Amino acid sequence: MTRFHRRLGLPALGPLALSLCCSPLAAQVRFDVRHDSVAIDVNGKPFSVLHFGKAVRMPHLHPLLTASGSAVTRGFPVAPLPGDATDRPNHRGLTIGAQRVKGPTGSFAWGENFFDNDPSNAGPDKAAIAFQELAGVASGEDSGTLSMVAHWISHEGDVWLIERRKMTFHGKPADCRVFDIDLELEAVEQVTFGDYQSSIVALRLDLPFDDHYGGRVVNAAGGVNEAQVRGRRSPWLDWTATLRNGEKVAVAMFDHPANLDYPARWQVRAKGFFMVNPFGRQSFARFDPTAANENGEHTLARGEKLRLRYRVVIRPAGRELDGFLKEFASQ
Amino acid sequence: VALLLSIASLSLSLPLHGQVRFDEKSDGVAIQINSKPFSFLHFGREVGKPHLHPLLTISGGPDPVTRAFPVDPLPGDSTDSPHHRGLTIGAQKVNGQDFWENDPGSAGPAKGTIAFQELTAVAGGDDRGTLSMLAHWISREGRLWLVERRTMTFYTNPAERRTFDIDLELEAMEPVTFDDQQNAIIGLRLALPFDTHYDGWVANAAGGLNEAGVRGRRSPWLVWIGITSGGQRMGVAIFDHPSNLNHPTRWEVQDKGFLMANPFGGRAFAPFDPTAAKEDAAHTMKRGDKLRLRYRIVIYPAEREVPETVGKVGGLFAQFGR
Repeated sequence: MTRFHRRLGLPALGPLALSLCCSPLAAQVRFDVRHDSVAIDVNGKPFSVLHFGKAVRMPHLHPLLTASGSAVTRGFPVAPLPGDATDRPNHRGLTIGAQRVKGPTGSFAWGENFFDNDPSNAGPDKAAIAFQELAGVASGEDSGTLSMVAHWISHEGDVWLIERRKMTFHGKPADCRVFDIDLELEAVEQVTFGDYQSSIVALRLDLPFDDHYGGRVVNAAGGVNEAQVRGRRSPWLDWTATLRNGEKVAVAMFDHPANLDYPARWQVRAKGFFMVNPFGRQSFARFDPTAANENGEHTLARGEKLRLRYRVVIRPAGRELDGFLKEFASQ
Repeated sequence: VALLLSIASLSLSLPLHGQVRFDEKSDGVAIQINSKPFSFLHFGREVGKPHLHPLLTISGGPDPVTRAFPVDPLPGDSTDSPHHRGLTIGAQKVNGQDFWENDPGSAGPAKGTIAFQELTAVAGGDDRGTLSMLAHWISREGRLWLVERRTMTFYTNPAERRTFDIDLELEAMEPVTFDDQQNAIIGLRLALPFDTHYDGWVANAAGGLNEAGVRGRRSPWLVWIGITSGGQRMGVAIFDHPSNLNHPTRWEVQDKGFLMANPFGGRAFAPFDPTAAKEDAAHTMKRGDKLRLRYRIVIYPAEREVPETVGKVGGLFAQFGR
C-alpha cells in the first residue's frame, strides 16, 4: 500500500483519515486538485491520478488501482519500479492520442504523431496534446465527474483539435472500479485521422498481464491473446492476470455502440498494451485479412465534432461482464 | 600536476593488467573481473542448487543480463519459475526425480537436492581465474547418486566482453539414468529486456529466430540479444563444446528469456522439431561412470541485425571449439 501512497503523493494515513471522516459504507468519489494533477479516490481509497503537467504531452490516468489497492498499470515511466519494463515511454497508464493526424499545415505527408510523442522519440513529427483547463470537478456519492479541455497542437504550434474529455468514476460495485470516458474532438482546422494501428484510447497494463507471465486477453468472439484478437473487431476486450501479490484481476474496456466504426478494431500487444481504435482498418490487414479492403481514414471538417465513448471495468477475475455492458450500452 | 599525471597514468595502466579476483563469503563467492563486480556463486544450500547470479556486463553496474527475481527481487520484476536463478545446473528427470524445479516453493513430491559440499579451488589470476566446487546430487531418500565437480574459468580478455567456461564432471555413485527430457542441464534466465515481447530476440547457428525457430533444434550455440536497462544492446552467447555428448545439442528455449543447453533432449523436443521424434537421448551411467560437459558463456556488446550476429557469434564459437 505505501508504495501507492507515495506514488499518489499521499501521507500513509491519508485513506485511513478519509475513511474515518467520511462514512466508508457510502459509495463515494472524491477529487483532490493539485497544480499538475487530480487525485481520484473511490470509496475512501486511492484509485488513480489524472496527470496534466506542462511536461506531459498526453494527459493520462496513472496508476489504475483495484478496489484493494493493487496497480494494474505498469509503473514506468510515471512512477517507475525497479525491474519494470522500460520500453515505450509513451505508454503511461491510460492515454488518449492518435498516431497519424493530417492537418492543413503539417510538414509531413503522413501526418503528425499525437501518440508516440514522448520527447525520447527521435521522430521529427511529434505533436503535443496540451492540457488547457479543468472544466468540471464534481465529487459525488454514487459517481464523480472530472472534465478537462486539451488542445491537439501540431509540431509547428497550430491548434488542430479541441479535446473535451469527461471522465465519470463510479463508486459501485464496491469491489470493482468502473469509469467512463466521454470524448469530444472538435476540429479547429480540417483534420484527417489516418488509418493506422495506434489510436485512440490506450492502456498499458503491468507485467503480469503479459501472456509470458500468465496474463490473457480475450475478445467477444472468443479470440485469445494477440494472435487472435489483434486487429479484430469486438465490442470489448478483457485482460486477466494474477498480480504479484496473488490477486486475480480482470481489466476490460468497452466500445460504445454509438461510436464511429463500432465494434472497433483493437491494437493489441502481448506485453499488456492495447488501444480501442475507431480509425484502424486496413492497417490491421496483416492480422485480420477481412480488414484489407476497408479504409478507416476519418476527416473532420472545420467545426465538426466527433464523440467517442468508452468504459473501463477493473474487477475480480471471473466476474461476468454482461451487467456492465448492458448498463453502458443503455446510456 | 606531476602527481595528477602519475595517478592518471597508473589508472590508465590498470586495465592492461586485467585480473580475476574471488572473495569468499559464508554463502558463496564474489567474482570480480578487471576490478568490476561480475557475478556471485551462491552455494544455494536453502534452494536446492548452487547458482551464479547475477551475471553483469563489463560495466559491473546496474544493468544485469540475468533476471533479478528471486535472488535479489525487484518490485516490477516477473515472479514466475522461482527455480530460474541466473545460471543454474540441474536436470528434471534423474531416475525419475526432479533435480531442476526443486526449490522449496515448487510443487511435486519427487525432488532431489544438489547440495554444495566445498570449494576445491579458488585461484584468482591475471589473465584468468578458476573456481572449482564439489556438489552432491542427493535423492529424495537421501542417497548420493552423483558427485558433481564444476570448474568455472573466468577470463579477463578481451576486456570488452565477459567470457567464462563451465567444465562439468558428473560421476555416478549409483546407477543413474537421465531420461530424454526438456529441462537439462545448464539453464540461464535472462532479464526482462531479453524477453521477445520487450525487444529481445534469440538466434541459433542456422539463423533460426526466437522460440518458434530455435526451441528443440540442434545448434552448437545460441545467442540472446536484449537492450539492457543501461540502454546498451547486449548479447549473451552460450556455446556447446564439440566434444560434448550429443553435440550439437538441442536447446530448451522460452521466449521470456529462458534457455537450457540440453545433452539429454531428443524426442522430448519432437513437438518443436519433428526430426527429434525418433531420437532417444536418455543417458545411463553405471556406478563409477563419468560424464564431462563443457560450455562457454560470452556477454558482449551486440550487433543489431541477425546475419551480423550469427557471423560474430560463429567466430567466437570457433575459438571455443578448437
